[in-house]
Amino acid sequence: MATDDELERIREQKRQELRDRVEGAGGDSVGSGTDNATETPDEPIAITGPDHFGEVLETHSRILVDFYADWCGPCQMLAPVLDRLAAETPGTIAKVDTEAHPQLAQQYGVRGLPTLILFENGEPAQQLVGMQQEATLRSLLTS
Amino acid sequence: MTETPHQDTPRELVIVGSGVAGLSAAVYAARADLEPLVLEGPEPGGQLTLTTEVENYLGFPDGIGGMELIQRGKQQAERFGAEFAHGEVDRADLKGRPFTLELATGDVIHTKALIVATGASARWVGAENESELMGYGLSTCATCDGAFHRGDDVLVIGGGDSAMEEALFLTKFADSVTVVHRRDELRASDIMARRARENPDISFRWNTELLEIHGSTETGVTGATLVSHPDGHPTAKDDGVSAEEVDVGGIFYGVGHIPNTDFLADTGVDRDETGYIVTLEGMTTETAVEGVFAAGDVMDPDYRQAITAAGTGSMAALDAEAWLDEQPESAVEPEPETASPQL
Repeated sequence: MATDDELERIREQKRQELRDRVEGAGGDSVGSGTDNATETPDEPIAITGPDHFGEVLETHSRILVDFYADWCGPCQMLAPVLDRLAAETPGTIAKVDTEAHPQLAQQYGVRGLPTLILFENGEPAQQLVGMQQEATLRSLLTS
Repeated sequence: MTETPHQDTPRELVIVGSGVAGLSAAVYAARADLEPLVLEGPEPGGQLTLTTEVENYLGFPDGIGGMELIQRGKQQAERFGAEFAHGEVDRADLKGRPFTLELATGDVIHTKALIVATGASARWVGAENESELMGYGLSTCATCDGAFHRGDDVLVIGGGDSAMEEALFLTKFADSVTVVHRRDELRASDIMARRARENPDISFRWNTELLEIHGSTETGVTGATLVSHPDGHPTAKDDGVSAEEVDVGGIFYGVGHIPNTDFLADTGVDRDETGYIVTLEGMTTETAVEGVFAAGDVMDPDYRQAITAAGTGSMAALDAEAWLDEQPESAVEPEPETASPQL
């Protein structure tokens, strides 16, 4: 069982990661979404908040969004698959940390992890819950 | 990486499944220079990726996270040269030699020896609406989805260790946790049952089963219909069953697992009536098909522990190695080039 101390430690670690991410927002870790509006980034876009998510949805007419949490094992197993697909396919992928951004998870009715939502023109078009096969996602991103 | 010069050369060993049994087999097989290919399957890392802390794995006196144990195991296997690929076996031809594995993607892999470590997946109870609401407030993974139920009343279905673990974990988030069990006593180990019983946030509904789940993909789970019978197993009874509707925001299944062996139909590998692979008599991982070995929960209806899965995984690799050594062709054939996955 995870103790409260451990959960607090995880949260603190996540807050620190978030701070690092926000501070480094000018760098290439999250910048690719807005800098290269017409190109598809070759790594998942880390969403830093609702405003950023709104911008990303506006910029990319078709985008697969991974709602995840660090404590979720299947999410961790899915992460390298999404990294690879972002690099290898013309599709665009974004990641929303549901612990850091619970309002985004709530807004899109995310109740199970991982949840993948395909957005088309800013609207959810398809939703997949749970671990997915690489081939399924690849065809979603290349179609 | 750049070429596959021996596309038709079969692999020495393919391990199907990447839970603790598959990883343990991979460590042993890789150290024996069998250059195993591990097919990770639809649930990479297996059941341990869905657990919180593992407290009874030898060598970790303070416990270790299930996910961490798996990730360390994978690193260990990779360190010795095991190769990992995403893929799920759809069909297997184990009558010809080498064996042929057809993946869900249509790719085909040939291998001389095979270790089946496909484990078992969470069982669903068969309640009305469960396939619609799975992932929308209905879950088989409390550690994944528990945090979405802050302030909710939730149900845990089941009476074994995994149900107790889920119930205890969910008390961190939920307002109340009710364990729904079809009998009047728990199947869980004494230590887990005691922890759950002593927790003031957990209550029990004995002799009760889940009949129907209410809600939609928009609203999520909003409630459930429960049925009870004084003698237990209410859904199997004709008379004396009482039904009740409850308002809950989440339902978690902890009703055991079913072995993932559908792809072994008509292959000659023996399975029992519940689908578990039957290994040959005595202490061995050999199956009814020579050259096919089984490890972990897929062949173990009784113990189903992380450490027993690791144990049978190592046995399967040793058994496969010994069997490969006995095969005449592998003695005269040059070392095959297996740097690239034959996918």
